[in-house]
Amino acid sequence: MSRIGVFICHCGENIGKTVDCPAVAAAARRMPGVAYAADYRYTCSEPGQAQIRTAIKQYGLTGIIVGACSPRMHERTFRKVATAAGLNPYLCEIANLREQCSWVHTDRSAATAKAIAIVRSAVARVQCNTPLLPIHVPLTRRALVIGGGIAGIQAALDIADGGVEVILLERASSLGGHMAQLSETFPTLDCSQCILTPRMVEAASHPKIRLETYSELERVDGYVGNFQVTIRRKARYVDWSKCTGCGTCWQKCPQKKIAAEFEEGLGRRTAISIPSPQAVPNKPVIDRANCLKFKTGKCGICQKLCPTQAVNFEQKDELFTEAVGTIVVATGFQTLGKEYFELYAGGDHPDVITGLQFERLASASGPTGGGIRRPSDGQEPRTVVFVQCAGSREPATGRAYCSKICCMYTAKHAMLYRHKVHGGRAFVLCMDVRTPGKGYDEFYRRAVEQDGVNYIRSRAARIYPENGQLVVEAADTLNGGERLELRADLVVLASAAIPQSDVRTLAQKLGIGYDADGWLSEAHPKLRPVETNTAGIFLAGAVQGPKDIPDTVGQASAAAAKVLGLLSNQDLQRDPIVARVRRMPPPEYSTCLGCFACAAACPYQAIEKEEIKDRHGEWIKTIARVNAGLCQGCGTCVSVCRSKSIDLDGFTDDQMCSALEALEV
Amino acid sequence: MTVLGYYPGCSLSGAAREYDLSLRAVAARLETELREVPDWVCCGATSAHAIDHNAAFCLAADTLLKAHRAGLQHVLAPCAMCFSRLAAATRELRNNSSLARQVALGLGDEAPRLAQVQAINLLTWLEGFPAGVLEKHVVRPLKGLKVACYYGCLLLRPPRVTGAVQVEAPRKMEAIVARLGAQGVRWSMATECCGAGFSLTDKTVVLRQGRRIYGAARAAGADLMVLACPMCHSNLDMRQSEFAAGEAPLPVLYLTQLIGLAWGLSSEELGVRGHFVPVEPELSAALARG
Repeated sequence: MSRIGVFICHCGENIGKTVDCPAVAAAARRMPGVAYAADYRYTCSEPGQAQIRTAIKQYGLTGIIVGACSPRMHERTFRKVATAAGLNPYLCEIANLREQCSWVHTDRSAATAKAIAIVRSAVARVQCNTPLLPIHVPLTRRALVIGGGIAGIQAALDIADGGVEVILLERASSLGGHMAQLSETFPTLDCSQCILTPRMVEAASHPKIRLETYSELERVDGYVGNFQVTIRRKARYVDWSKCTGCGTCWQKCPQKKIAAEFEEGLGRRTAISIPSPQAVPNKPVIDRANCLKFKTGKCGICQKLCPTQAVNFEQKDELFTEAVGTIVVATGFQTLGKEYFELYAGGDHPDVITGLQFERLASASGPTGGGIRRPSDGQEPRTVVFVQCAGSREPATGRAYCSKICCMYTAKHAMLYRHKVHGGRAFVLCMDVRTPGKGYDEFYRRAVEQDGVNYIRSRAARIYPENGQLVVEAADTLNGGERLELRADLVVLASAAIPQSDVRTLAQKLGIGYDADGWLSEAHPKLRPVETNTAGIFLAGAVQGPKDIPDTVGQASAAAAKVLGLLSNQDLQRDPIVARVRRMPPPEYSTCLGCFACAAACPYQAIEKEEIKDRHGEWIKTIARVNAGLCQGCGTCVSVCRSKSIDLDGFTDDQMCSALEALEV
Repeated sequence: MTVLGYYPGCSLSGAAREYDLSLRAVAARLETELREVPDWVCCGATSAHAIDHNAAFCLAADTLLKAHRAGLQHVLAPCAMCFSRLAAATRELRNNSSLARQVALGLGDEAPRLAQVQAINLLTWLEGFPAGVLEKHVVRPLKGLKVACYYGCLLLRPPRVTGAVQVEAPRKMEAIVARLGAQGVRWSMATECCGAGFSLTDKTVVLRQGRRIYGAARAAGADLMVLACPMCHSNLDMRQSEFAAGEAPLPVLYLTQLIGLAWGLSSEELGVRGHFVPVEPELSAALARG
């Protein structure tokens, strides 16, 4: 005979005001199988929990019901209480008297009657509960970090410093990402390369980090603790094990006029090249589309001159598979190209540039050696107009969000310009200036007050060339919408940060979510900002939304802490709420017909095939088997099974039917 | 012979007669019968849409209804303002059921079917001819001619009414003049307003806008300008002697006139001699230079 304990919580006035809690407890006391019932003002408080622990021991309870808030809130709490008193945690059930009763009703007597019905249903259900034990899943103590920008580097270093081996995957030939392209960084104006390159070298030389650059994720199998990742190492046409990075090849390559991606098209590179002199690893790749050898069959100068015979035009892509326990996604962002902005001089005027292009102009290692020069004629611009929110905060064109980093980097750009070009005039057209962050507003005020940058609250309506200059049409919205025509030598667009163009494909490979804009989704916007909804996969940096360097590094370290936390376990314990194919003794073995409708319906690919064989190894039948490591307990398979051969532990047919019958509706 | 509904509106039967003439001449060569919507009324572009929103839609809807009764599915509205009003009415009647009911009350019970009639503008019509059709009539190739294609406000905007994709830096008209051998210059004022809304109330606005448009076309090296709106034409042609007094004249043609000239149609057929800024001397000089 069951001995059920019922504990009704007032939740202060949350439940108590609408539901007569003592009456519910009294009604519960008369329900069949109930050995004890009580009500208390705050059952989740320590005295409330003590009341449950004492009752379990004193009355030898075989199951408990807590009539309180939603199970999402405190089911875990009360199951821990049950465990502490020696009761299996899955013999504790929650009757939701708050969200599903007191909060949504006003009539006290009707609400009390409903509360009693909810409790009666839970009492009936818990009598069918069986003790469940956590599932243990083995664990590969190894991590994959996708993306070699500052987020990926930081996450990889932190994980590796924690003693766990890391594979750091980067699709470009060098680590560094966007941060390597930046000139100075706000709000301190320290040189981006100077703070980043030591980290790049550290990552490359760390004994626990294996660098896989010029490689991409091909596919992902498995589940938390046990991922199998397939990586494509793209053909570099250079054997990096032989290459010493001497530079002979890229100095002698005759194809010298290719627009350099690293220089945002403002500089030139060769067909065999490294992205920048600070590249890590400092080894070149051949760009097949622009290489004369591949285009015409003639040339091969790099191969002839290479002192170590490292150039190999026959090299092919390689695929290989690695086992890892967790994955950190740190693939970053991109920015809208200027061709998007038709209104701004047709989107192809050389002197309308993006913020990232300005970074290259201002960078000491950039195409102008740090001099601010107009791309069209190499002249020093006397007037520069900076246009903020270019493409951001425009629901009409598809992006309602703020790109977050532009206010600060535009203040930095205007400041750098004023430092480098004496007597130059800098105008910033802004909707408003957003500077939350340590030292950020001070930095912006410095641009205005010390460096004489002119801020105008406005949006640039149109830009067109005239007499060798650019006319920026705008309206001063703090001055009655007065029409402005600014004549500029150079226009810098703070173009919107947007997700990487192929991030959706990546998310689908990983089985993680993304929002309508294409930013990857965190599990909870406030409380679980680095986890995804897929166990074992974490986010770091701008792949989750626009972020500056400090935020990115912070989130990367947080992701690393999550990885180390997960991998510090001997194995993984999972909630045993998983589906199970019913088994019987021979000769039936199971009522499963092997139709595998469940496999087609399962969103997590958790259904496997199991062959039943006799003692001689002769095949008898093939039935479904649920992989408990993959199953998320959604119950979809249960509802599609035509022979009722699958049940969900914790939500069995018996439990659900008993609960429904007890409602007496 | 293809049949196309035709809505000339007030301008093409009055001040912009040469637009009507040249359009008919071009349509005849393209084997298109322009069938005028019987008993059409004002499109509502002038006073109506500023005073009474629903009355403006009723006016346009009345014409659409007549087109529907005449079995016309597409109606060519060469005037950009007429096009805008008719297209806006179709869209509004499709999306706003209470307006559609009100209009139905005013016009009889056929309002729901009005939305089937679609107004098209000159560019949409011309674009529809496959490669080779416009080209094969050319007898006077406009090679070397630099043309400023002027769209003004309403030919493409607002995009939700016109369905245009490239609104801010359009190249549709340029693609058509390229089929005649001419080159559409890249310039900054192609979608600037000509100031027509102020032509009766504040002429200084019109003159300032005309000056800006003229100056930009000149700066871009244009020999002449083409457009597809009677209001824009009168502002840029008739008032040019005011905003560009003593400067080099910039002929302003309807797109259909330029097509006709390239096809060797006579000045009389195209109504080219009616312009304030003489066309032929500039065109010949430019072609000689080119």
